[in-house]
Amino acid sequence: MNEFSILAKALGEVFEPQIDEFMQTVELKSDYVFSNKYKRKINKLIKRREKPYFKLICTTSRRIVCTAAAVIIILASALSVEAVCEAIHDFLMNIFKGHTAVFVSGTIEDYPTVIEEEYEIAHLPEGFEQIDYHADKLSVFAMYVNNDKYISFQQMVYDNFNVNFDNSHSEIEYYTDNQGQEYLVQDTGHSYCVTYNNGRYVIKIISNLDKYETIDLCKDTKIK
Amino acid sequence: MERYIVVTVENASFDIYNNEKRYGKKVPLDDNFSDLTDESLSNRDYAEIVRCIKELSYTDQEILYLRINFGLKHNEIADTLHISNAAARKRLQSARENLIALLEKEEIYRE
Repeated sequence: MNEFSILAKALGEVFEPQIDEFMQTVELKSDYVFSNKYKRKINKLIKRREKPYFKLICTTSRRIVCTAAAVIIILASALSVEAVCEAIHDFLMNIFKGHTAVFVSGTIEDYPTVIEEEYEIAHLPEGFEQIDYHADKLSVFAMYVNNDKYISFQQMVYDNFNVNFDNSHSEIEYYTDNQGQEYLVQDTGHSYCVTYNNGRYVIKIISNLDKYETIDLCKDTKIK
Repeated sequence: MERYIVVTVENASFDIYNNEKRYGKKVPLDDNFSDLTDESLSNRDYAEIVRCIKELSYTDQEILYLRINFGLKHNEIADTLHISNAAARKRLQSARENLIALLEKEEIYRE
């Protein structure tokens, strides 16, 4: 504009009085009422500008970049959470209002899809006798009793393991022994259900013995 | 209402600021305005220039004012005056030629 300052000054001197004259003839209505739709839109625009992160999302390209960054962060965090879960627990739980769904972590390729070798409790506590036994391609079941005491033994393939625990009448906890083996323990108040993953199959023992006695039974399982 | 005006003025200011940043302090005039630069008009009497501008029609004054004082581009002038882009360009050219003709006439009378 400096290049045309003389012309600009002269134009202003001549033309601006005409603008002022014109403006005086214009009747400005101060009682004009904007429509509700217009007010809503303006309020929305003003509110958007007031947000602290407005500068980050004020243009379409910035919005796209922010969305992409958010997606990357969410994916990265989701992957890292999965990794932590796998590193800590053999079992993963989905806790619902009335029950807890438990499934084995890891991938199906790591486990046999049928029972290739049967497991059993190597040393049963004294006085226990087997009263029931059943085996098929996907599971092995055995029941032992001694008067009012009982031990239920189950061996399941990874793919067949999908258990729902009643969490309103029992407590579920993780227990890890000195060897680093992890057990999922459900305490119903009158019995214990101990589940663990031996690397090939899922073993589940339910008993009304003591908690640690039940865990010891799990430790004592061997191939038949 | 006050906030709305603030936002509107703020936006307009940003536009002007961005234009100045983009083009520098000079507004690029792609039309042939070389006869009307400060350098060309420096040897003229200022009152003489004002008189010539006063002799121009309102339309010519208006379009020169928008171009020189506001630095509007052809399409912006077209939007402001509700005319086509080509009409804005044509009117601006005509206004420039009329002003130069008046200035030349003044010069002849003076001599």
